[in-house]
Amino acid sequence: MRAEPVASRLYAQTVVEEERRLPEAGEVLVSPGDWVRAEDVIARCETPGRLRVIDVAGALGIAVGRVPRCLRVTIGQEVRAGEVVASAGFMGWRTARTPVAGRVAEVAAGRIFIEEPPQRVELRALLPGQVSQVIPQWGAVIRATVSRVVGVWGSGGACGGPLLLRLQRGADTLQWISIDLTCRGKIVVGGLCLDNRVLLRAARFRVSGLVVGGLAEHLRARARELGLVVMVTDGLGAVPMAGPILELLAQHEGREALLTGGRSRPAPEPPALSIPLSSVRGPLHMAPERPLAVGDRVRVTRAPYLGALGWVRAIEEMDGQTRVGVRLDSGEVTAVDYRNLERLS
Amino acid sequence: MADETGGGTYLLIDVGHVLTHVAYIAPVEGVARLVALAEASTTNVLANGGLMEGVRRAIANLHVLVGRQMLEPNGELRRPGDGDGHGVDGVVLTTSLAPTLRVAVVGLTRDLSLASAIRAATLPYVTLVRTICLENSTRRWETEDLQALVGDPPDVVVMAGGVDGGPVAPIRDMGEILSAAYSLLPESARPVVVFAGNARAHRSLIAAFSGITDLRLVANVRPTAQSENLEELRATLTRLFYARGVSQAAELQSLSRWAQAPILSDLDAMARTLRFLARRYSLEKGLLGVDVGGNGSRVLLVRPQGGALAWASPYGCGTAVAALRDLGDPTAVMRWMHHPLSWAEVWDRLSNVEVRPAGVPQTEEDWDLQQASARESLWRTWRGALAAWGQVREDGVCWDADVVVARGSVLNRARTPGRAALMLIDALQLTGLVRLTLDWANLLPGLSGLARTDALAAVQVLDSDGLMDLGTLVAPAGSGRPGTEALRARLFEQGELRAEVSVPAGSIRTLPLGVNEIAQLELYPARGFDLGGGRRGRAGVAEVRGGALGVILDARGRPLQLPTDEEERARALQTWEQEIDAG
Repeated sequence: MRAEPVASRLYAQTVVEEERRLPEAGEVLVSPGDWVRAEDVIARCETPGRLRVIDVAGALGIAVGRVPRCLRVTIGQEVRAGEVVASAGFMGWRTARTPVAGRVAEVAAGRIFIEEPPQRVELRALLPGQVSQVIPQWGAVIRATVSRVVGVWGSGGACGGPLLLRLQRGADTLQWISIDLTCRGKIVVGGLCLDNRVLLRAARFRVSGLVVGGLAEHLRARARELGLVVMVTDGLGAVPMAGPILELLAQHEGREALLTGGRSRPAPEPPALSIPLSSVRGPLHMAPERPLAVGDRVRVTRAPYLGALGWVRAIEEMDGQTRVGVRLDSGEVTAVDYRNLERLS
Repeated sequence: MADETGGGTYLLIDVGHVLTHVAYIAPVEGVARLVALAEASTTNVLANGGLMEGVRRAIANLHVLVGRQMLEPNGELRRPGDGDGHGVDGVVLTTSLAPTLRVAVVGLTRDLSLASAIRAATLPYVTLVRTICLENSTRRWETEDLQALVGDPPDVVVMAGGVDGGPVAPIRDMGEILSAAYSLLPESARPVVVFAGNARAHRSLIAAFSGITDLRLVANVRPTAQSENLEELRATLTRLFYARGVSQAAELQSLSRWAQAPILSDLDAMARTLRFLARRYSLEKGLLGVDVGGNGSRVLLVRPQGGALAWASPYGCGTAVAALRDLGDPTAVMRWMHHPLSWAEVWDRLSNVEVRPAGVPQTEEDWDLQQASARESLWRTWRGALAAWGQVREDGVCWDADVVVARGSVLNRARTPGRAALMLIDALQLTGLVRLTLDWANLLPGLSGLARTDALAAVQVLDSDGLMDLGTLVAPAGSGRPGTEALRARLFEQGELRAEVSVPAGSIRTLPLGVNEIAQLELYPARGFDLGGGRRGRAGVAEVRGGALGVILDARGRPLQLPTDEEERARALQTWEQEIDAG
């Protein structure tokens, strides 16, 4: 493979266009050019309630044809959770109740279909900046100047909050005891997360999000189960957080940030942490993708140097393959396949 | 002399999960040939320009190789081709990125209508999300099933039941409850309903679903209790896949507009090419196509009679190593490795391959791990396919193919041809006489599309550049005491003895026979081994084709038994690699 453009994983200052999108079509409350704060609601919608099926004939032990005579509700009627919807037997002692509140939508084939109430969803900007584009009925794209770290894995979702560092060095392991009430509503940064209890504590203390260098592979499913927004910056397993990433995050400790956990649909997006740089004004531009060049700061992404940092010393294309000479921070010089490098500059 | 082609130049573009491949086809001395190949990482992130950017980069790489402009300065394709060789006359687009069709199957009898409908819906681009049997005496739905069908509606609901002319009431009831449930959903969320049952029920179903959802009526999958008719349901599901999966994916659509060409599912397109190959070579048993991809693996069995059988699994070598990891059993992958890595190390490395699928192995351990995950993925896919096709074989041995055509970067870029061959032989447990080939340039799906516009060019490219022969495998079933002679072979070329070898049980040997060379092979298996005639120890003569490895004589026996002792197994795996590469 020839040397092709590579996006950096780390930007001290760049412009991002963050798409904020409702789960269902709704109403957009901003216009192009508007400036928004992180906490501003930019769109809202109502998600339709789920349909619940209640098997009345089965619950009452009667034939399907008898169900209409046993109904205690009519189509369109609002019902509360636990309310009797049908009864049969002597004095109506046998009853069928709805487990959820909602509206009776249909009765068919011995079943009642209950439509749960719609949920109101308010979409917040989470990133202070300017609305560059409105997606009619769905949301908006917010343009902002930020420091940005792009992760290798994320648990999905998005959250905002001030950054709180819980590490001195990239290889420090995040201990469960260090997740406490002071972490509430914050995006906690750690080196390695190898302990299930860290995630449990983070969920219990309502940590807004978690950014770690390395995450034990089996904890990914746990993070999703707990609904935590987690981003891994360097790799799965005991991979320390790269020095340049830690330095950047340390510079911005205490500042508000937006953490997006990545998504695969409708278009894939990697997880990223964006820290708005409110004081920056002037000409703004998106950081372009470009091929690796001599002098670039890079990270190796495959064994035996997984996670090691270095500087590009030479790039050589031969027989359609591209090899890169890298001087690692340890002083060692090695040749690495082009596709096993990530730019950190 | 070959017939002259029309002289068109074509780009075959294949967009995969990890890499986008571009092949440039042009006439060379009057015959269509593959002139150059290029690739680039698939850019499926909108911020990186979407899929289009990866395609443009691959074409730009092609330009560097052939020195011909194929893109206009504004990034559009330059067409048609001009006299100087710049531009192209046609484009064929294939992809494995289209989302699969989510299908639920409802049937009245488990062993008849439901079984047939499931067989028909077992297609590589279909994900069966739920199968529901209404076999109980009252034909009542389980609340859980109904809740699942309305809570997370599939793309398609297949209803099947009854023989033609049988009772209509159970089907009418089935339709009425589904139509009542789906009338409550927003129109965009309602699935297409395909009915493949008793034709007498058509009128009542049309009445039930009228104005509610799209109802497709197809031929009964079980017109009688003894007969089965799966083709029309399969064809309808294929059409729905193209209509919903391929056409509605916005990124694929914009790519299709840019190339001014329809997008083909790579597997569907590959099946067409394999069918052509199977007919052309008049194969006795059939042709097995396998694809070990970054996002999953697929197998296709094309037999002389009947339709092609296909199966897809989530196991693979890129993001799909997640499926291997989800097995929760590291030994499943480690049993194929000869480098000692700890469980934790294997798990971490696989996880990092999953999050960075574009990387390439750099150490011997990593190569070993990649080969091990490919073997396990293919092994599980083959087992899944056998189960899905209703062929119960405990040992998983494959007697079904005369030719194996394999594709996937892990095979095309194996360290040696021998290792690519071993991955196929071990995972599929290939037995008998089998010709092993690689779709080394990822051409097979694209050639199917090319055949629609220029059939002659497609055939010429297939003949000259399409497949890379690894060689012919001779692998008898049975077992023998390690070290004792299991197989003796004599290779004759034009009546002259060219080589002779004795293969001890538990070993692999190769006989040299070059690409496109044909020779006579005399085989004398020992008493415990069967070459396919059904009788152990029976000698035979066969005509064999050569390849990069020549003739591979595999006397390890079938089913393949890996030593249980860890050190012994590692030694055996390493020895087999050395033996197959030794030729």
